[in-house]
Formats: sequence, C-alpha cells, structure tokens
Amino acid sequence: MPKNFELSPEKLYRKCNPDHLGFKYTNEITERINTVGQERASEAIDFGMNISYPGYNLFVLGPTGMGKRKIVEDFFKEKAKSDRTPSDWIYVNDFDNPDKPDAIKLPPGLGKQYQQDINELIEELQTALSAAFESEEYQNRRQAVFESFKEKQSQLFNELQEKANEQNLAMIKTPSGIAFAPKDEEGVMSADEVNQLKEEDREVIKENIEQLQEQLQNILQQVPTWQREAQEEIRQLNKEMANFAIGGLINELNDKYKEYSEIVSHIEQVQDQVVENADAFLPNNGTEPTSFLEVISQQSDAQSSLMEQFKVNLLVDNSELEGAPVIFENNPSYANLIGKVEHFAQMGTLRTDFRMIKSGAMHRANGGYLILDARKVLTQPYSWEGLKRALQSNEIEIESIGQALSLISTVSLRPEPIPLNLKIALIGDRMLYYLLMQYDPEFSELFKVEADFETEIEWNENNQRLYAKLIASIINEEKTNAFENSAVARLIEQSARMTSDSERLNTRLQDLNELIVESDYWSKQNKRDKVTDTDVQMAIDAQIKRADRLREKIQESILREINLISTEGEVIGQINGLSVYSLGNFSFGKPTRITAQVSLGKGQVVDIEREVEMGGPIHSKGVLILSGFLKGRYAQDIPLSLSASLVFEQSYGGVDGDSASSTELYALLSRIAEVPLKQNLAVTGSVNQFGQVQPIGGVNEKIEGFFDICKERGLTGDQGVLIPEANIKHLMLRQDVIDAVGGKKFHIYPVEHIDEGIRILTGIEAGELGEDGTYPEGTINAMVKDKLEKMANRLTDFGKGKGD
Amino acid sequence: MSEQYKPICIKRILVSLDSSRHSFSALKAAVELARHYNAELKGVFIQDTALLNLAETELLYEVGEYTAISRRISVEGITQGMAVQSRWIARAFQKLTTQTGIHGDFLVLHGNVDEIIDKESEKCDLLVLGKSGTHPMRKGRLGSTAKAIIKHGEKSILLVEEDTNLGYPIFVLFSDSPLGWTSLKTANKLLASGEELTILIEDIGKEEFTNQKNEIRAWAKEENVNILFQPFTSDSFGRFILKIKNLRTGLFFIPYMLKPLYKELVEKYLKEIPFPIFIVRQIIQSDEPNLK
Repeated sequence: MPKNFELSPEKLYRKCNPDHLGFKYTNEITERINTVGQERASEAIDFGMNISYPGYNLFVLGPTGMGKRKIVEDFFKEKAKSDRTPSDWIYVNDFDNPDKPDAIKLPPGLGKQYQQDINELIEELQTALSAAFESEEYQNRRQAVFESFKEKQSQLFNELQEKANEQNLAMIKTPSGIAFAPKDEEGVMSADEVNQLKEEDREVIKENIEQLQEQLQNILQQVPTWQREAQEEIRQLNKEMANFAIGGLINELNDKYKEYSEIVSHIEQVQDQVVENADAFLPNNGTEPTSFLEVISQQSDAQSSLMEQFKVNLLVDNSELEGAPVIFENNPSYANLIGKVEHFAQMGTLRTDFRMIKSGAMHRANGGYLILDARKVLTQPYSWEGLKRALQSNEIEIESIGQALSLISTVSLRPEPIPLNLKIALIGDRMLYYLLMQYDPEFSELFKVEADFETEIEWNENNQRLYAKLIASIINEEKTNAFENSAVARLIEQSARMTSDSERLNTRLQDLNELIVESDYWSKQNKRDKVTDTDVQMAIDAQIKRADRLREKIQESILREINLISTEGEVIGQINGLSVYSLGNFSFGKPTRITAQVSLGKGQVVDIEREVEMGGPIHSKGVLILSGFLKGRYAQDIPLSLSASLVFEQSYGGVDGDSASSTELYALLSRIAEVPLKQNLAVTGSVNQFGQVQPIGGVNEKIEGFFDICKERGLTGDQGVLIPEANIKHLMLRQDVIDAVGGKKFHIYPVEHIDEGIRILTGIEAGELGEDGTYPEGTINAMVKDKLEKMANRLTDFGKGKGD
Repeated sequence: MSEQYKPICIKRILVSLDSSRHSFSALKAAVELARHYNAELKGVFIQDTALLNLAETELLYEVGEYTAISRRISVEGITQGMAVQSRWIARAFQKLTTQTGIHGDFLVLHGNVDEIIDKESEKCDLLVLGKSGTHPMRKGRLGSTAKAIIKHGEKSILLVEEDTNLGYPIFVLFSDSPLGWTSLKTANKLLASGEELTILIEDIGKEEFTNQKNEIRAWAKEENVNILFQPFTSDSFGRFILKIKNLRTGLFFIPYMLKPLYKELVEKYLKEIPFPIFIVRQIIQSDEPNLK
C-alpha cells in the first residue's frame, strides 16, 4: 500500500540540547583542542613527521578553510620543541674562487658569534695596521727605500745635468718627455739663435744632444726596474709589519675556533689576504689621491673593499631558536624558497659578491619543518621545480632563475650548496593532490605521506562534546566573549546545517571561526558580556542577508510573475521543480517550472536543455533514465511510440544534476495520462529506471526556496514539497519552515517511489500491476499504459496508411 | 711689538698648477686653505711659450719619460700635450673645489711662467705652488720657478712638496720682527682647538732669549694658545730639521725678511723641510686694513 504521510516538525531539524554540553559558559572549559574527527589526518601527519626516510614529506589535503595549516603547524611545533636546534650556516669569501663562496656549518649561535668576531677583527685590524704603518720605524724604513730609489735616480740625472751643463745644454721637461736644448749665458737659445749658429757648431750640439739622449734613455730604461725593486722591498716591509701587527689578533681567533677546521682555514685566508694586500692599509691609501690623474679617475677604496671581503654572511642564524624551526612561507616564489643572490649597480654594471647571498625559506627551515601552500608553490614560476630539485639532491643550491635557464649573462655566483634535511608539508586541496599524483611522476617519490582531512564528522554525543571543546578553544584563541551553552548548541546546529546533514557536523574550521567572531560582534552590539543563541542567530541571519541579493532578485521576479511559478491550481504536464544556486559559500533554492509535451514518435524523450547545449551530462543521463523507466514499466509488449520533450521553463543558464529527474517523470506521466498535477507542490529527487526516488543535495535550500515563494504569496495550507525519503536525515530547516509545518500550513512529503509521488501530486492512485499484467482501472499507471497503447496502435495504423 | 701686528687675512689665493705631483699637493693645500679662510681660489695653468719656441729648433728631440723612446719635438706635439694637460688639471681643479664647496676659477694662460705668476699674484693674498716642477730631479729640490718667485715675488708663498699635506703640527721660525709676529699670529689662526704651536726661537743669549720668550708667552696667554718653544742655534737647527724630515703632514712658517743667520739656514734647509712651507712676506699692522 502506498504511504501518504507528511513529516512532523521534529523530523525537520535536529536540536542540540544545551544541557547535554556539560557547561554553562565556554570559559569553564580549560582543555584546548584544535581539531575534531581528524584521526586519519592526525595519524598521517604524526607518521610523516616522525619517519626519517627520504621522500616522506607530507601532502595535507582537504578543502580550504579546514584549518589544515594550523593543525600541521601545531603538530610540527610540538615535535620541534624536542628536536635538536639545527646548525647555523654562514657564507664566506673563497679568496681563490670569489665566484664560489664557501658555506660553513657551525653550531647554533656560533655563526652570529663568528660574524661579530670577524667584524671586531676587522676593526682591530684597521687600528693595528694603521698603528704599525704610522709607526716611526715603518715610516723611516719605507722612506729609506723610497729615498734610496730617488737617490739612485737623482744621482744619474745630476750627472747627466752636469754633463749637459758642461756642453751648454739645458735639460727641459716637455709635456710627455725630457729634451736637451742649447743654452748660452742668457738661458735657453731660441730657434732663431740656434739657426744662426755655424753649421759645424750645430753639428757639435747635435752630436752632444744625441749622446745625452742616449744616456738619458739608458737611465730611463733602468727606472722601471729600480721602481719594481723598490716596490718589492716595500711590499716585503709591509708584509713584515702586517704579520707582526695582526699576528696576535689572528692567533686569538684561531684559538677560539680551533675545533672548526673550516673557520681556521678562513681565518688563515684572511691573514694571508691582509699580509698580501698590506698596501691597502697604508695611511691615506685609497682615500687621498696623490695626483691629478688619480683625482679624476675615481679611485676605489681599496682598504674598505678588501675588509668587506673578510666579512661573514650569516645566512642562517639559529641563535635565538629553541628546538627545530617551523617555517611557513606565505609567498613561496623561487627566490623566497631557494634563496637568491642579489646585485648592486656600480658604474652602470650589476655586481655581486658573497655578501649578497640571501637565504630562502628552505635555509631557514633546514633541520626542521617547512609548510607551504601547494597552489602557491605551483603557481610561482619554477618554485615547484626548484623545490623538487632540492629535495631530490638533498641540498640547496642557490641559483637565479635567469642563471638556471641561461637567460642572463650577468656575472653571478655559484655558492657552495648546503646539505638539506627538512620535512616539508604541502597544504592543498584534493584536486591538486590527485592531479600531481597523476601527472608528476616525481611527486609520489617526494611526498609519500598523504594526510587527508575529513570535511565532516558524525554528530554523536561524543563528537558533540568534542566539538563544543573545539568551539571553546577557538573562542579562547580569538579572545571573544564567552559563549553561553545555548549559543554553542546553536553553533553546533548551524554546523550540521552547513553540512546539509542532521547527522553530521562540519569540520571546516574557517566557517566556525567566522561565525564565532561575528556572533561575538553582535553580542557586543547588543551590549551583552556573554554570547547568546540570539547573537549566533543574528550572525547567521546577517551572513545570509549579506549574501542573498541574487536570491532576493530571483524571488522578486517570481512574485512579480516575470518568472512564472504557480503555487496553486492544477495543470497537465507542468510541475514545480527545485534547483539550487551556489554563490561562493551561500546556496539557495529556487523553484523552476518544468513542462512536458508528448506526441507520436519512436520512444524518444528529448531533453531540450541538452539539445541547446545548456544541460550537463548528468542532467541528460537523468532524462534518458526516464525512457528506461517508461519502457520498463509500460512498453514490455508494445513499442514505445511517443516522442516527449522536457524543458526547464525560463532557464537561461546551464542546468546540471539529476535532482529533477523524478520531477520530469511526474510531468511526463501527467502529460501522457492527461491528468493534472497540483501546482501547490514542488518536487525534488532523482529517479532510477525502476521508479525509485533517490536522494539529492541541497534539500534544505530547495524546500526553503519554495516555502519563501509560498509564504510571500500567502500560505494556503496545502502547499508543500516532495522530497526523497532518503533525504529526511539531511533536514535542518529554518525555524519559520518548521513553524509552518507545525501549524499545518506547509507540508513536506517524503517519497520513496514515483508511485507515491504521483498519487500526492494528482490525488489519484498510481495503481499496482495486477497478476494479469494490467493496472487497476482509473489509476495513473492504467491511464498511462492505455495512452501509450493507443499511441502505439495509432503509429502502427499510421505506418500502414503510409504503406498503402 | 706683539700688539702692533695682525695675522694675514687671506681672501684670494692663487695656485699655479702644472702636471707634477708637487703641483697636485699644492692644489690640495690651496683648497684646504681656501676652505679655512673662506677665500676665493684661482687656479692657473700656464702654457710655457719658451717650450713652444724650442719646438721650432730642428735639433731638438725628446725622450719619453716612461717609454724612453726618442722622438722629434714638434710644435703641434707640444701644443697638444699642453692642451691635454690643461684639460685634466682643470677637471681635477673643478672636482676638488666642487667637493669642498669653495669658490674656484681656473684659467689657462699662455706666456712666460715666471712673469705670469708675478702678474697674477698681484691680485691675491697668497700664492701656492709646488716646491718643484715636472723636472725628473724633482725630489728634495727647489724648482727654478719656485726659486725665482721666492727671489722676486712680493706675496706670501705656500710651497708644497709632492705627497705631503697641510696640517698639524705647525711650526714657526720666530724672529722678533714685524714679519716674525705676523707669522706667529697667522700660524695661530690655523691651529685647531687643543693643538700646540711649536715656536723655533734662536738661543741668542740668556737675557734677550728670555725676554722674547716672555713676550711670546704673554701673547700666548692672552690669545689662549698652547705653545712649545724649540730653541735652536746654527748647529742644532739642522738636527731639528732632520727630526721632522719624515713628517708628511704639517706646516712650517718662515718670515721672509730674515737676518743673515736665518737666511742662511733657510736657504740651506728649505728644500729639506718635507711638508708645506708658508713664507710670510706681508706685514699687517694693527691699524691697517687687513688686506692689501
């Protein structure tokens, strides 16, 4: 026997009893939790975090707003507390290969210490060297070398000058050399005077000049050699002084760092460089030009540039860290992830050195944990490739993108790679995870642990209690006013509504978080020091109001009868379907008129939406199922000789989903049987080939969508919605709907089979198939069968006529 | 006597420049003084016509100072060489004056070097020039131009040797004369706060020596100057010069009109004093306007 009952108000909403929560106000709960029902994901994170084999990095998957990052971060931070603090890393100049700076690993805190020590050494070096080079001893010895050189030069020039004087020749400086010119008592002779001399005298002068020139050439040719010798002597002197001046400082530092061979080697290199380049520390060297050419040729500051090369680039400083680092990089660009080598402009060119190496998130997280947003990593150029390369090679090699792709020719560095040892958690949605699994063969090797977050949990007593604790934890974290237990109960109910399931709770923490914060806002607006269920309701209403402009417009167009929806009367082949619109996080239901037409044909049901490419494949599938149903039930012994068309009236956007397939079937049966359908009812539910009505999504929104229209037009008392029986457990309806049902002003009919639905919609029994293969007279099925038989006969007759 | 004279007030400085390192040091010292006195600085580079005349002599060849290659001297070569020198000296002059924010003019003149310097120095309060010129025997030698200017010039001169700087310590070779007091007072004006003025004073017998020192002390007290006496005799002067021979920074004041002993000493040791030497030639009376 077909059922005919409607749902009572209690079935339409699952209340959460505040008294069962075990507290009056949330500030009574001291236990803090950050997740509920994520045992699978938690176990996966715990496993991934603790396993120390290569490739066991995590991919934490689930929809956005689940609080995945925070949960992972909390796990990592807890674990990091007991982990060893990783080493510091510094880059120092490799004086033999300045383009390949050396990376040095030091115990935490020692990097900073060494950097300070080197800075102090540099200062002390300058003082010690200045003192040494300004000492009387040095100045005297240096002066002696110079003077000996000058003396040697002067002596030869003097001899030459004397010879020239003896021969009445003057030594004259020209802009680019030295010349000899004849002179007399009055001075150098002019050209005219020389020309007036006798030929023989001129010849003598010429010969003398030539001899002197030759001697001068000999002298000048020796000058560079003497100069080199003097310079070498000065260099040796400088070395001697520098070695003495800085020896003590260097030894002190060597003693301090004797356990670290790389540091000792760096200190030795610094010492060698100071001694080799002692000239740079001479007083005034590099700061004061000594000639016109120097002042106009912008001499560089040799001393300070040399000192800069001794400095330490502290790449990773873990001096303040306790335990291992946990880093979240919010902007995982290639450079932010792998590090970069910066450049500075000098004289129109880009220059760099080891001091310009900047760390990336991988450096800072090395020895600890790095959390990254998978989508951001994938959308940043080359970040994903860089990340994988580092994980595969187990080292971080800083290389600019341009360099890696050989796009730029600017001189850059190839810093020594740093060994990598860290655990990475990529946070992303499921689609990304499965796409990566499918299309990136390296992904599964590098991210072996998937931590899959549940989007909902069962609403049972235990989970309800935990959920209340989670709410209390969020309240505590957000520092909002305490919530009354009724407010928490309302939050739990709303959580179920968000999942569209009265047996499930939403684990998307972002939604919960927003609702808590907004409820607190309204509580404060209402000048309450505790948040009540009224405040929570105000927050929910406000959220809906902010988002429901489009819903209001659509309702308005229905009420103004621009969009034609009947809520009373009876019409053949016309029915109210229900569809759901989703706008971001907000969904709402809208009634849609569905109509059916039939004619003689070859058993096709035409989906007009599909014909015009406005219907999705699932919708088309639903429509094709209708043919199956009709054939199975009515055309076992006759050909199905109709052609039917179905349409969503006034639908100008796309339609997908099969939630209207039962509705379409009702319209079709009504049209075939020519029995009118009640327009005060709306229908949702998909149907299979046996006529069973199957559950659909968005049941709450659909019911409320039709209710709102009826309410606006005035509830007549016989209006209602047919829903699949399997959807009863999903009902979490609005209070006004529940009230209307309680007052018998609105009805919700659960339907299990199409026969039940057609009876409610037409007031006529569907009729059960008798043993004789016929349906009882006057039933819908009988009428449909009869009509189809007539159509088959008519088609046969029509065919014969054609044949004749 | 101390009250009758004032320090030289320097409003205009002339610096004569050639391409030598002495000359560059002279420019730096001139810039330093111009900044100190807020004076105008005029730089001159003189294209020596005597050198151009020489180029017309067929016999003449020059030997490259660095390459030691012998080549014929030509008027074009000398002209071009001097033009190039004058350009980069001008650039250096502009750069240094701009950097220090002083008012500077640079002129390239053409003619006899000594005559032009004489003429140009008439319009200034101080002439600054390198101790020697571009001659290869430049070190420890007084150049011919410097010699001539000291001999004939009327203005105070600052002689600067290559690679030396104007600065502290400041020495004054004192003589109890108008020029001596002008020197002392001018030197005082260049001392920075807390610095000491070293006064070389001849040990000429107890009474006169003591009187001179007392007079200087009284002046120093009044002016709040730290002074240090360095007595000398004709024998010890040389030893003192030897002691300061390695200083690369300093300033040595010498009054020009010296009595015979001083003149002899100065002539002997002028080239030995390594750092800038200020030869004071103007006497500024207290009742006179403080500039010529």
